[in-house]
Amino acid sequence: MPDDDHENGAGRRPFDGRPEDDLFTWDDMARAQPPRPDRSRSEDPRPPEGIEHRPGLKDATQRFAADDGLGDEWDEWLDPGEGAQRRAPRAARGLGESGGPGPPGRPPGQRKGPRRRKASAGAVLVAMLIGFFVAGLLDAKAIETDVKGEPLGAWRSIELALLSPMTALSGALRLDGPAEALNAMLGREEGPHHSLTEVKNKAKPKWPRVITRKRPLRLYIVGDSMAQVFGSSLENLAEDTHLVKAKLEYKISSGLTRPDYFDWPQRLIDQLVEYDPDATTVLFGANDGQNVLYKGKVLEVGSKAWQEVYQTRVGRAMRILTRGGRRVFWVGNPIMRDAGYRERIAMMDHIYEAEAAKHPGVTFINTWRLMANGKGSYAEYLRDDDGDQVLMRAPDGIHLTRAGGDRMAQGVLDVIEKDWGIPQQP
Amino acid sequence: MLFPTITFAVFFLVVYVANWLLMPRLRLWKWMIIAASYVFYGWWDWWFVLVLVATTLLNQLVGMQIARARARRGGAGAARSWLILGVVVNLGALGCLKYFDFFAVSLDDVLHSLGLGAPLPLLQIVLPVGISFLVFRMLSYVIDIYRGDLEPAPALDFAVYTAFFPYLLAGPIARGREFLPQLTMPRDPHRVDAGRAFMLILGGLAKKILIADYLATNLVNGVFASPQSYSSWETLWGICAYSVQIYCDFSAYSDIAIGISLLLGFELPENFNAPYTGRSIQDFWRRWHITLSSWLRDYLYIPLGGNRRGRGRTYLNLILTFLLAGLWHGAGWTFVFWGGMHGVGLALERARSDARRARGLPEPGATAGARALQRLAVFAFVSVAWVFFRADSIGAAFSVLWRLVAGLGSIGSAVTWPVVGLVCLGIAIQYIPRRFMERLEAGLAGVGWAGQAAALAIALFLIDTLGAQGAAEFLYFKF
Repeated sequence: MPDDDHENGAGRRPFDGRPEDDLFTWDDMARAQPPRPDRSRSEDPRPPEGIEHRPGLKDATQRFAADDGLGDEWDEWLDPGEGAQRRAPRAARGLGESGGPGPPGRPPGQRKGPRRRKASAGAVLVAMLIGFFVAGLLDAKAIETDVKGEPLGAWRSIELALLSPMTALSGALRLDGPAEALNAMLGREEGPHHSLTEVKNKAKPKWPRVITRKRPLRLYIVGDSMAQVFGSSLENLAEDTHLVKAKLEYKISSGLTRPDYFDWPQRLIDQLVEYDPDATTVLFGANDGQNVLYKGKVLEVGSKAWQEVYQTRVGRAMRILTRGGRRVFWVGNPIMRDAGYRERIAMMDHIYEAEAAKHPGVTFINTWRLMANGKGSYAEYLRDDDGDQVLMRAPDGIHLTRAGGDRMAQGVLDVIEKDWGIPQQP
Repeated sequence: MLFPTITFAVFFLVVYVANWLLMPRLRLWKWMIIAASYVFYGWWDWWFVLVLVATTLLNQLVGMQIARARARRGGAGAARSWLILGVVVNLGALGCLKYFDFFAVSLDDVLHSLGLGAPLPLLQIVLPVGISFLVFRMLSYVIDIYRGDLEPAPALDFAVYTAFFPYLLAGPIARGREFLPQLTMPRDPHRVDAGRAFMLILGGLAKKILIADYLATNLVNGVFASPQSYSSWETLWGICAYSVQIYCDFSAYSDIAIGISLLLGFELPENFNAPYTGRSIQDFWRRWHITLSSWLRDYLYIPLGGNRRGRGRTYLNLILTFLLAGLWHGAGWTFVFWGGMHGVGLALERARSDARRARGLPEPGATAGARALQRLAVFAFVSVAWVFFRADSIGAAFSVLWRLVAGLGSIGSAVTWPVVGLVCLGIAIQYIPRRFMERLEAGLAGVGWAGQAAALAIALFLIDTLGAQGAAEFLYFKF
């Protein structure tokens, strides 16, 4: 509640503009504080002739009248092109613009930059349309890649149909050259890929072996955006043991349903060759609840055909990752807030579990219950080991907070440690 | 809907055309902009629109009742009651939606530690994005009416003011008295400030995509997620990089919002003025999130008594104001700690200044060297405070700060030349003279539609190609 000193007309002292007068010492703003309407005055409240009086304008009138005079004020509102600096809203006046360190508090009249030519709305529209179109031509390939990554459906098809003439025109006019040159300059071209035959089945399998500080467990953590927090939590907890060397790699919006957006199987093969992990922790599925394009047909998410295709892809990823006797810890997704989404996640968890049972070396880790409350329902807050309620889930009802990531990662690390015979931390 | 997306570009082009076609018929224009803003907001969740409509109707009712009571002889009491209702309902809505679970859990923890396990039910509501900005706009409206600084606007105007999509999600927090007068007559379609608008939009996009997002992905996120994996050197740069990231992210949103509004014919208040050139914490707050700090001054600090009740009370008011400013940013102790740091910093600064004045000493900073040191000290203080703002918990923030001394063994490889360059660039752009920027704006305004189209095409192409794939949300959405 405002106190009496400041809220009552008589008691509230207006700022007097002294530097020490208020919190931020904006002396010009202080002056701009509108005077309290004096009901005792018998001045004519009507606005100047020809101007419709509207609420709010009175305030501005008084405010500007305090330093500039009423006539200027009306001129400014009538003519938006003139006196832009003075007309700038209160906070802007004397406070400057981002991009330059002009001292705050300068009277508006003293800050007159070069006059800017004003344009007509039509000319601005033409500039925007041409600007967007040419930028689109120059960047057609990148835009097409982005659109292709969108969920399959009518909207994506329309966007691609609209884009295809632009992509063709861009290619025909060689307007995609600058983008290619820039990407090459930035070293963004994809390097050569490895093949599965390079991931050798060694005579001596990776597992089991004794894990020591000198020969720590090399753990590769992969996944989608869910793995961002979970993965870094697991990385932290695992490396705290000094017996694990972890590498996290996640790709937002990726998964196993859309290899056209990001080809995870190829990425896994490349990393098996380059990083040579002993074990991999996998967390996919958050983006996989979408239709799949398979042999030219769109398979609806959840249908029998979709499940078979998804199962095949999960199985293939498991076969790649277990090559050479490597271990795989396939992490199921936790319970989700939205009912429909939750069902799809549960369906995928079943597929992971079933496939894990078929592939030796793969352990499925169910985190559903770990991240549910005592009643088995979704909860943003869960009790930690000390009994305190802690926020575990992000506002979207899907992702994890750091505490949630830590909780899930600890559950997964316990399984990894047991599997590799690493002594568990107290 | 995010600004730097093709979806928004298409949405904006449609709204832009409708904006200027309907502008002569102002009433129709208002319905159009309300509908467009609701579509923009509902893009996340239609439930958000319901919250917006409900709060709009309620605050309009309260505003009208306050004005009516004020107009009556002896109606001061009724006006005051309506104001209390308005403040309670607005803060109540914010409290329920944003803070209930935080306080319930905090209380539950205290009870639990005392062996009095009495679990409170949690609401677990999906928080509408930008709710804090919305509530602050509403509060300023009803309080201004109560103070007699503003008359209630027609309902349609008020609905435009509450929903205007450029500032809906993350400010600037335009006051009713700044924005509503602009709705009284059609904007002139022949005087669009395109030069400034395009500069603000393109500059904002560059700051967001090329600087903020790059630094977040390539250093900041890692330093805050796994501090123990980073050396002292990397942590130091990570902390500086976050300071630059949050500036380039948040000021970018404000710049784009202001630019988009200009294209539609409306002016919004400025929100940033080179904050890291500030020579004191007070100076920093004059330059950082200006519309929030002026809101806090007018509706919190002054009602608390400001500096009119003695030195001790002034210091206390500063600390209280900033503790609440911290809480405004998020329902978490990290934000309260961050606000507390700034409040205490401001109070100490004020105390020092008071003491110097009492002894008749001049303010420091007379030489260029002294000014540079002041700026460095303010940047260091603000950056340490940002660590608490960014970290997941106060403990995690101390873990990051601890790495500054605990990670001395090696240098590490995370501090790359692009990271160093972008951190320096993010600070250096704040030292660009204002006149230079104004000349650029005037230059872009002067080249006409063909030049502007070329500038747009080249800048958009470069920003998209040089930036990382995909649009990241603006940080301030969650507040």
